[in-house]
Amino acid sequence: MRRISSDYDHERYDPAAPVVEIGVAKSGSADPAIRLTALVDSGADATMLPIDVLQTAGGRYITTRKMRGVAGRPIAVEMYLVKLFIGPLTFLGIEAVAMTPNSDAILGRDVLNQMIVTLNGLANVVELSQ
Amino acid sequence: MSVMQAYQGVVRQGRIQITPPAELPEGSEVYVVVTGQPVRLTAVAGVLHVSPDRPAMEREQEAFRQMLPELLNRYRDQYVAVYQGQVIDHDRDQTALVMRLDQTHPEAAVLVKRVTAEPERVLRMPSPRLSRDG
Repeated sequence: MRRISSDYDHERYDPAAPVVEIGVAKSGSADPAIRLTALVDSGADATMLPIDVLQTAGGRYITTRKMRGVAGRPIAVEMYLVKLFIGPLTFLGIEAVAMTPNSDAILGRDVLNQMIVTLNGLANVVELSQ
Repeated sequence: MSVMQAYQGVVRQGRIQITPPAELPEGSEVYVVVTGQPVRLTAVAGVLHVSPDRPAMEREQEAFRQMLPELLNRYRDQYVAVYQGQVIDHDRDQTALVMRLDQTHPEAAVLVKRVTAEPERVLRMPSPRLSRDG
């Protein structure tokens, strides 16, 4: 079993939040084009990435969907196809929502449900394994 | 017997804007109900990117919707690439399809969508964040 362990982020989030380093690349690439830290968010249906990251990675705008936040009516969002890397793990065919530059990257259940995710809040550590 | 249909909209500068835009039959009689409530955009609206290719992509989405019955007969459970209202490629492997599009249509707004009879769900992003600004 391949396992990744990552410390919670105390600086950017209060209370501290589980984060993990991810790599992003275009479909078919063997290696990430860019790396960044993403919030582990089991409340999010989809992974969300800043547009500058998606463009640097070479992600392709493939469709538009509707998305609803905690309140309000659904709005259209743009989906980009990318490949994700988390440590030694790779995830093909990820349709990520495009956000404005400098937004927090969010790792949603489209990726999290492909792994065992353990949140150890007392130790402030998130463990991902597959 | 006439059929009544409801559309949602918002008043901007004294005009009613239907969201999403809809083509209404010319000469139709309409009734307007004002809720008095301002439109509440979803909590994440301010951080979402809008591409210059969005209008083109929405046209391809509309073409996909129009073609869906025919696409279900020919390409059910495959991914299709729709460009300028036509299916230009298809594959069961979404990644393989997109890799080909990167070669043949590197800059074009091409819709890539799975052909299924299931309605597309609205994505949910319910995690609220506390502001640290006090």
